[in-house]
Amino acid sequence: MSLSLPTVTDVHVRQSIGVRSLRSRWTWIRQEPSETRSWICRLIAVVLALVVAGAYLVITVHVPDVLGLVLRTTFTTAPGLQELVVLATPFFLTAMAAQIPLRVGLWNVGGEGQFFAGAWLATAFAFSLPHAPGGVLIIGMLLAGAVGGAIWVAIPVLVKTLLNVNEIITTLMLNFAATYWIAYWITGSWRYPSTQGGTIESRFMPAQSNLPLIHLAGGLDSGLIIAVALTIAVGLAVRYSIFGYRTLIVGSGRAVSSYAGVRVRWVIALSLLLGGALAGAGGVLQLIGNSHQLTPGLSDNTGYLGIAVAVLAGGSVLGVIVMSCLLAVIMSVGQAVQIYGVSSEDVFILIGLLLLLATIAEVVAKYRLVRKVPTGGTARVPKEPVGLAPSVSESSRAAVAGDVG
Amino acid sequence: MRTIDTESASSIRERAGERAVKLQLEGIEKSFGLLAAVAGVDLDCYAGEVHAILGENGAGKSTLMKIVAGDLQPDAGHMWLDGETYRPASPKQAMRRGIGIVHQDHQLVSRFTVAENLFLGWDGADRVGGPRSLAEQASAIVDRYGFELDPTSTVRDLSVGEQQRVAILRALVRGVSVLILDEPTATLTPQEVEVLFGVMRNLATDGCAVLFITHKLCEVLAISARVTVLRAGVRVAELGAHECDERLLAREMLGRDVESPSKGDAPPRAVSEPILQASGVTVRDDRGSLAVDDVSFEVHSHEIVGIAGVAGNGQRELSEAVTGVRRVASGRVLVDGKEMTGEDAASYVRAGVGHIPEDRLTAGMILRESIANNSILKMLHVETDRSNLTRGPWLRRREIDRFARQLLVEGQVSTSDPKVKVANLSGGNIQRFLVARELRAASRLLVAVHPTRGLDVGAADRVWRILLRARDEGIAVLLISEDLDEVLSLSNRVLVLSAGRIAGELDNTGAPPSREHLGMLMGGVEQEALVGSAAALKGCGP
Repeated sequence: MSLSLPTVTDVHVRQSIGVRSLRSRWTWIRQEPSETRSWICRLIAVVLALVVAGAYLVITVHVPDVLGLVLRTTFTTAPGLQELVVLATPFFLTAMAAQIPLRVGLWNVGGEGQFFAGAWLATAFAFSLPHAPGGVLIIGMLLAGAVGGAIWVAIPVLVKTLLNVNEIITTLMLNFAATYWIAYWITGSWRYPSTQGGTIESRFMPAQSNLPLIHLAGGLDSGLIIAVALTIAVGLAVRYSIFGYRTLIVGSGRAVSSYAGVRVRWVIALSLLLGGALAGAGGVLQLIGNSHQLTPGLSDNTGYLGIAVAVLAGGSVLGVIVMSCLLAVIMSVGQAVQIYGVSSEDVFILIGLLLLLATIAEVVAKYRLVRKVPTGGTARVPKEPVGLAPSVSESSRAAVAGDVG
Repeated sequence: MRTIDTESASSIRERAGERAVKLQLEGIEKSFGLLAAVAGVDLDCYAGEVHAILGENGAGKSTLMKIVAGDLQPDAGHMWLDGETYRPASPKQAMRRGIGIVHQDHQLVSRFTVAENLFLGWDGADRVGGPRSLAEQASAIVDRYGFELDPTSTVRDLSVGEQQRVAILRALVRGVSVLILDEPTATLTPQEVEVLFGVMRNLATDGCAVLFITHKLCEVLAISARVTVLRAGVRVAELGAHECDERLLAREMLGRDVESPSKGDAPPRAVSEPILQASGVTVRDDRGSLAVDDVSFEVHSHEIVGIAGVAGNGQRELSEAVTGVRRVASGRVLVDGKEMTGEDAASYVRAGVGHIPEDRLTAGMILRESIANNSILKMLHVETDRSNLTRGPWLRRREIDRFARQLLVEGQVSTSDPKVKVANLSGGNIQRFLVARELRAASRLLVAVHPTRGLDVGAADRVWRILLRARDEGIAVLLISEDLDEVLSLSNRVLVLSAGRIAGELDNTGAPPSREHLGMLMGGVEQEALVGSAAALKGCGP
């Protein structure tokens, strides 16, 4: 007990000579982050993750200038750019498939299954009209894909809105169902005849359905343009439509929704169906832009990686575009460095790190370090250190009396 | 051990006839970001007295008390308890030294039962017996202090008022020597306030120091021996309660004279027409139990009908039922003679019903969204507004911004930028913005639930005037509040809600009904049983 006495002196000495700790001069304040602020924080997270990955590469791979070599190959050679575009294209739409339901607070983790369902229905459409003109086929297949993706998410929508079954479980489980559904068809009536064992794939799509190439860098996949255009269009539509505004209300909780008189079930259903349709269209783009065959490897996990993109992008469409490209670069570089003995798992570790840092950045963006402005309190008339007797500061009382009177 | 030591020490001093300084603060400062909440406050609190801390909202009362209770660390200043340095690093340390606090926001674990909250982190209870033993011990405690609580109910399902009672009990059972009560009376009936004051007096007699935070002047004079008045984080006066009156305290607290708005007289009933008609309305709460039981009433144009009652007696459910937020289990609701039973909030908005909700930060506003987005929360349901603010399925952002700017002007909000996020506004600004928005919707009926809770006197005054003006313009106003003064000073008629039923209806146009009478009704005594019954009085008293 008596040990605490020196503290009294300490505080009083510090007060009387005006020394205050550094900690009390700066302080964190919490606030709703502005768009730019949270973006800066997220970019820092991305750069940090890339620096870690780069350092890892330089340390583990004993090739001089491995990083520069890989980046140059990716960005300056035709095959590098082609690969980049092929990798990026499906991310846009699978990311939107996760992002739109996220606005209402739902996790659509079934992008993978909806992607396949879309590709399947489009394939069915193409095989049943094999001689239709190219334009009809392409538009028809895209629409069929959207319908297919929406049908695939319709079951989760029904059980969510009627029975409140968790959509994470239902959408995830249907991914596996989709894989086997595809396998059933491509090993059955759609099977490519000359496949001998090994990989299983469907017959080729009608040639006129193949998307034209852009005559740049030796021919780029024009699916990219469709994907970006669709992403921007849907993003703007959600931002400037009444439906988009209602997703925002529903995403803010049940209390606000019922107070505002929003029909929650409809908004939930529409956002999930829209997400499913976009994932389905993504599957079609991959089909007619790149593989031209329905294969089990058509998605190559883009349905899942789309969720990562959506999280990294926050609520913004620009974010989806930027992060899709970034993820494509990472995947592409990841493939390139595999020839130097880096395993493909390392790429996924990097994506995990990226997600982790981005999540932390999201929290950091809410705080801000500010310098304290000296308050009226610090300018207070210094008092004599008093003992334990009750003391009323006469000077402050007098000052107050003057203030009031 | 410590608590016992200090208690015996203080009782020795008590017997010796000298007054011991229990708690002494000097030069306490605390800032949040750029805001200096407490800017150098001194305070002496004696054992065996009730010491009131008076101040407007935002004057720094709660912050100061959180520092004393170890919730916050001061930036500067020093504290002594029983003559020894006191610098609690946590509420637990403060509690160990016998300082207990009942917060304004209760700070209970909402998923736990009443009993579990009472015993959480407390070694004084026998915890071996399991939930049933806990509940039995808890009901013994509840009975000892004469509070009405079910120890087995979950705190989340309790009303604000009931939660507060749990919080008070939680501090009391821990045998405190300094009890801090942060606005404890806001949600109690007059009788319950008397019970609480009795408890406070008993504690003081036992040598306990009671710090009583309030902004109600009459309570200060009724219970406390001394008053410290805070304004803008600074102590402006320290007075003995015997040497002041309400006028003096009000002037010290506000730095100016205030007069409360007078409600004036409502136009005669013949002029007015029924707007809201509820007949036999029965509503269930989230747990499915009966919250509002066969309630019938009317609200006419040109009148304010106040609903008084202790929190948790069905006010929330009733307000939600007559705004479409909650379905009625049975009965009918008519607005303007139009059948509204079973309709959702959108239909009520179309019928011209505005709603200032109880949970304005979680239900009435989307904090992380802009003012513009919050301004149209309900307006898209009204055809005239919808045609103005939208085109087909699209929003007209420019029109929405203009609309939001109008609301900001009407609500006298401190910003004029509709892109500002609501979370970055102060509580008073948010409430004024919300009131402005709901007045837009309320062309026929305005349902206002606790419209001034958490507002300072100036902001509350502005809201009161808005409600009175709405009434004068012919809008029917249903005012639901736990603040009896508010209900009595604004309403033309007062309905008392108790246990989900209307216990009585009182005319408030002439002389105000007696508080005792009101309190009895709030306590569940039916109006008929009240007439000249001394027995009823006995049953309700402390």
